[in-house]
Amino acid sequence: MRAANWIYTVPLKLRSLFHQKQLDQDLDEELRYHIECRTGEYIAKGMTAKEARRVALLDMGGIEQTKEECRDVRRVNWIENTVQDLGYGFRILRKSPGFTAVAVLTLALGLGAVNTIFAVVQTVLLRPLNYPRSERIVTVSQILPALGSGSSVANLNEFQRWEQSGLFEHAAAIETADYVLLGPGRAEQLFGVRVTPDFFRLFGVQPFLGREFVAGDATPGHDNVIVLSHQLWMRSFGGDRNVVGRSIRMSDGVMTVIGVMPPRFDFPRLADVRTIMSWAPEQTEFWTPLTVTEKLVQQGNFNYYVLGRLKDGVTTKRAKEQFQASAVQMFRDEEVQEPSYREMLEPIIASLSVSVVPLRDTMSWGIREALWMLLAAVGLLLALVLFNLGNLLLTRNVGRLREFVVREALGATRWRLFRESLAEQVLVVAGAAVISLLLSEWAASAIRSVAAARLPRLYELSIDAHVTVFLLVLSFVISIVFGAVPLVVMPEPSISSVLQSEGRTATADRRTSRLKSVLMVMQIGVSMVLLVGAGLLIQSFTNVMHVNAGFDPHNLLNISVSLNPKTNQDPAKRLAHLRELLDAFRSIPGVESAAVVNHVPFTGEIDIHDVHAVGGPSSSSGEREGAEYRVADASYFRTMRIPMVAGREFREDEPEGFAVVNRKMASNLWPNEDAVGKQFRDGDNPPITVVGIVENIHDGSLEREPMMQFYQPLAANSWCEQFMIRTRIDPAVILAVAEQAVWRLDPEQPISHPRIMEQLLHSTTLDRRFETGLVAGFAAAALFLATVGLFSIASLSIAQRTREFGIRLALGARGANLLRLELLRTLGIAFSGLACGVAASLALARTVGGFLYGVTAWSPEVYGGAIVVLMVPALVAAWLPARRATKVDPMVALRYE
Amino acid sequence: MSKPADLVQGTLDMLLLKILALQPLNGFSTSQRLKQVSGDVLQVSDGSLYPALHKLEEEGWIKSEWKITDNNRRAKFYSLTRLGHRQFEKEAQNWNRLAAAISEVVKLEET
Repeated sequence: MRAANWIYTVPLKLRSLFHQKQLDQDLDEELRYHIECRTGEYIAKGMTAKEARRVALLDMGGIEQTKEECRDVRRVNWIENTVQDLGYGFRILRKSPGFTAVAVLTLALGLGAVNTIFAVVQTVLLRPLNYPRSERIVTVSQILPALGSGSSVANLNEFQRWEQSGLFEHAAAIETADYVLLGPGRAEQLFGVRVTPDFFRLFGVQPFLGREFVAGDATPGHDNVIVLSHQLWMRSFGGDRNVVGRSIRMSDGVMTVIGVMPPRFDFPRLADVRTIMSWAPEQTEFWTPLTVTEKLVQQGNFNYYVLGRLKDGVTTKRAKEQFQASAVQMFRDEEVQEPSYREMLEPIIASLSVSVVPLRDTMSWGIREALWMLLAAVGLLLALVLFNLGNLLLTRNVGRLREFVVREALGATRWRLFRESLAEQVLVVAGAAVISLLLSEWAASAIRSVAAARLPRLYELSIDAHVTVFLLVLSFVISIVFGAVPLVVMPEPSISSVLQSEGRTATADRRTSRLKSVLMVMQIGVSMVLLVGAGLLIQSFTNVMHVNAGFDPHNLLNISVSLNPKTNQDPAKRLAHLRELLDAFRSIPGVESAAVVNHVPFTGEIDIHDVHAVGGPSSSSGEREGAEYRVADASYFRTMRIPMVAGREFREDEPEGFAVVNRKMASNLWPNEDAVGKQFRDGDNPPITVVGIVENIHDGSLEREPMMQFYQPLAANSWCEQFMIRTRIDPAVILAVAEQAVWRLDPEQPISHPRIMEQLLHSTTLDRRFETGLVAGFAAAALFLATVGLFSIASLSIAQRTREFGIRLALGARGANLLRLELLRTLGIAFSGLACGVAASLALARTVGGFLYGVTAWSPEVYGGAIVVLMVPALVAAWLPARRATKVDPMVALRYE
Repeated sequence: MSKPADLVQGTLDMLLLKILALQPLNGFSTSQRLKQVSGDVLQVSDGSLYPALHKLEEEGWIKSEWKITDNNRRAKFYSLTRLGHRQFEKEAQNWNRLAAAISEVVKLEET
């Protein structure tokens, strides 16, 4: 419709739409008038009235046809036809509920799964952080493999160099901290960070109340100020707006509250930063100023995380190169001053690398591959769903061929048939869309609640509208390609042949069945890939679950008591207090034993020391491996149930200078010798004598080989705050009693991080559980789809050939032979699919290597299992319809259709 | 449902527009008038007349009105709209160009 016309035509179109009855009457009258005039004309020419009227009607060429042609001109075609098409499509779909249900549900399943997983990928990997111009925020760290520093920590010296480089708008160093808040009630352990003053400006967030840090806050004597998180403010200060300026009592002094941050800001939060910070608060509850003193810089501790906001125009690459060059220069300068360090410094310089990475990307370190793998798996599932949909539609259209041909013969155009088929597809896709949205909303909330503690930024998870639209368009295109296009390109001869055979098709159209077979082969192949993937992951998961942690986590409770710094400075007093606490725990009914240690396995706290045997061969510094260091009391091994291999446990009063080592350390330091009685050094400290050997324990992950480990008695360092309590009953029950016991001894000692060790261990396998569960789910869905597909293709091929079977049976063929023939046909498709699947899986095997544990990517058991799992349903799907066909009475079969 | 516009169809539209440009007419009179002014050469069948008229109306080139005829009957009269005049000009130009071209071709002498 051209622009100039619409003033005239729109009212007409509206009239045509809404006043049809009136128009019909008008048309009637108009034509009647014409016929009367024409009749009059003929009468005037001398015809009889009857004859004249007959000729007048003949001139009109059939009054009804003319009327219909006029109506066609009038009709607002696309609207009316669309409504009609949709109505017709709906009736057709309702007529075959089986097809409709399978098509809609499988499509909904596939769309929902892809949408959900993509939402996770998008939230975790792709979406910008929720800060102004967040792409400029980077983490900076210097990695020195030669010194054993692999994580993203830095020392203050480096921080100062970076801060003054001129590349950053703002930069901040962060250090984790915890305080004990002494309120009117019970003492409370708070977790947060110390930050240099630019921290909040770097993120571009304004405080909710009060002010942020200024440079003056980070000077000695003025740094006893604190900014609270919104959550802490609500929880412990009742949301009191007058809190700003108030002094609060902490275990190590009085601090002044200067601000409260807005609700959404709690950086760093453990789930987001666990890839960069080995130890971070689950949610940051406060920020205090980090005062960079000369002394701290001199100490050179690698305790700090560095963030920066790059100036406009500065790329991460440029920053990285500049920092790297300046670090190398620094070592070179040192080399010039102290030429004797040369040998030590050269390997450091060679291995040194500085990384400058956008904060968003660092958050997804280590899980990125897993997420892409899940996305690929779910993509395969979607491909499968689409193949299946194509197959179903082809099957249906072949079944309806006669209907189409008859309608075409009666005058329907191909275009009209195409549009009708299109309307049907729209309904299927729309139905699937609604269900899939419900499914993915539900799945998203399930994932949020299961994995929020593990995956970064998952609290922002939401379904993306663009992706939803894209997926809908994709499935619509597929359904058009397989549902409607075959109608249009249907060759003329096939039409006439269908008509000539009077509907008694003896065999199915060859091209269609070949296309269907190809689709089916692809479906089985894709299912095979998914099944193999799931099999490998499940096998890995089972292997991990069978790994013995080295200690018994069942009925084991860990509580952390923040020792009161006022009363515990003196080591003798502290030791006495520890014994007091241990006795208190041991006297609780239901407690079997209790022990104290400095670091609990699987909590992320770790202390690695450099050890070497006294008199043994000193290994070169490059390949030296650190040993985990723990301080534990005499009952630790008994309480943890770590088996002794040789020698003895600690005595209650074991003096400094003695140690228990694990089996790995014993065999590493003294291969083929008895380690008990031997001596080793921890760094440059005096030699330590081995009194006993215990089994290795896992730490951090069940999938990593245990490291060397050694334990020293409390005399070496009694600042131990982790209590392990072995119970006879449910440890959760003991927890409350244990807390009471601590507070009875000292009410200013808060308890934090109570952990049931079984749950802690469980949570370390959460990633694997999550990935395995999802991929296994996809594989199950794939199996289901492949079975449905095979069943449908076998049923259809047999239904179409019932007549053929009838003839063959009547001519004397044996049922068993026909059955075998049909089975072979379906099995041929299944085997081709399996072959494709095996080939594809082998090709993809290398990419999943990183996710496997204790199983190779070429595991014959897994491949065999997947083949069996696929073949059984394939056989059933082929056998059932074939048997039905061969049981049929020849006479019935001949009259079929 | 749109049909491919062939020459005859196109010309019919133009002829009808011309006839109606002279004066508003009802369907029957339109066909009579066409026959009359063309000296019985051009004639539109009754079956194609009405669809053509309805199409012109739907396009917005003519408008219709119920009026009383000379013999006191109610009939639908069609008249040209402004848009219809413009359309006629366009089609007439096209036609003239085409007719001139064709007659040029026909006049070519065989050598």
